[in-house]
Amino acid sequence: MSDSAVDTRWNELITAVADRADKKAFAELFRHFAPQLKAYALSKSGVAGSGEIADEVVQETMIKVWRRASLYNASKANLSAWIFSIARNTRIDILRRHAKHQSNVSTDDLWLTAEDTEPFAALQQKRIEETIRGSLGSVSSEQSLMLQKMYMEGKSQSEIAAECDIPLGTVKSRVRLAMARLKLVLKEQHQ
Amino acid sequence: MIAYHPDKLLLADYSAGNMSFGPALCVTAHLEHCQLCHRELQEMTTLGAVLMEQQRAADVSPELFERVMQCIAKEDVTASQHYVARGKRTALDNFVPKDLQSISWSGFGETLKSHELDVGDSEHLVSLIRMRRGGAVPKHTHRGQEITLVLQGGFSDASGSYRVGDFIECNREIDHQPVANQNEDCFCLTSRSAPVKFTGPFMRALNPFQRG
Repeated sequence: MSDSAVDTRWNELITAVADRADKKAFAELFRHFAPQLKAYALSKSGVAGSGEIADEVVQETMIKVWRRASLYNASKANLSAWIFSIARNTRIDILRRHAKHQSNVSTDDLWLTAEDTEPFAALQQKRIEETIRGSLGSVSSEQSLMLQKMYMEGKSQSEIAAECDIPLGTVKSRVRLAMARLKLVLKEQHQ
Repeated sequence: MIAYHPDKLLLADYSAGNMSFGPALCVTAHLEHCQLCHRELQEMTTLGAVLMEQQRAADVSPELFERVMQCIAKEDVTASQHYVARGKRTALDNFVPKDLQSISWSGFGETLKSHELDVGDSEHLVSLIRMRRGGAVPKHTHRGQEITLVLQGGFSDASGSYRVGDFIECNREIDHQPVANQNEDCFCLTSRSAPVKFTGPFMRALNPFQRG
């Protein structure tokens, strides 16, 4: 299947979940996304790195996908970006819970959720995703390691600097270069 | 038109989820005003999704699949009734009453008042600040990171003038004296990792007591 046929398929499945609470469609989404979500959860070192907590992240994320399916809007975000943002928030909340934070505040209370996102032309959405996919190969391995550590391992730039034993400024410039490579530079273009 | 935006790397950290709740609330409040940053955020979130998809997938046990299917089978209402989008509510509405005048303010005399918010962040002091119209905040510098987001009105300092939605990040190098606009009170959201340090001749004495 082509990329856009795959996208159409996921959109059909999530629509079936939203409209009819279709469990078969949900099962298919689970089979596709759960292994990615588990890898995402496992890549955070420490407590989240344990299989049990990673399973908790997968479970909670997928249940939220089920519950919020009707809020998903293909014109606002592609499905994988929507699921990624749910997983990101869920991983933070589960880690906070295990760290015994004395607080009822959850990530969804203060992070912008994908549902709040501005409608964005689906075509433009698609273009961005294609640009990112097409340019990731041209990002140097050093730069790509920074992105990996930020997005998957959930490390701050100073944590990355300490871990890789390089100056913070080097981390920052590598991330900036990677972003430029991926053409994530809207603001500069507008100013 | 919003003139002051969060740094791209800060936005990237936000999109990756690597941010404490205090600074994150300030970024969200900016995003709710700024379409440009909002679109950048969407791009960065898409990057996160592509990276997630491109890593080596992990094995998911059949038991986990069964458990999730059992959970959703128990859900007694249709999916759409379960969760309500925030809609017109902003993230700040979760922590602050809509009418900023009705808040119980404390401290600092008439010119500068603050109201501390509990956003579940033990590493940052997050507060609403009210500057009286035309009022000047004592000259100060910062011991850590301070983020200010203008919610209503505006203020200026030696580096510029700031309006609703502007996102101002200060660090220890900046010594400034904000002055609120003459025509109306200025309300800001601030998050700071360490207390500010007053540097004016008489203000030094205040420091030991100063949290914000």
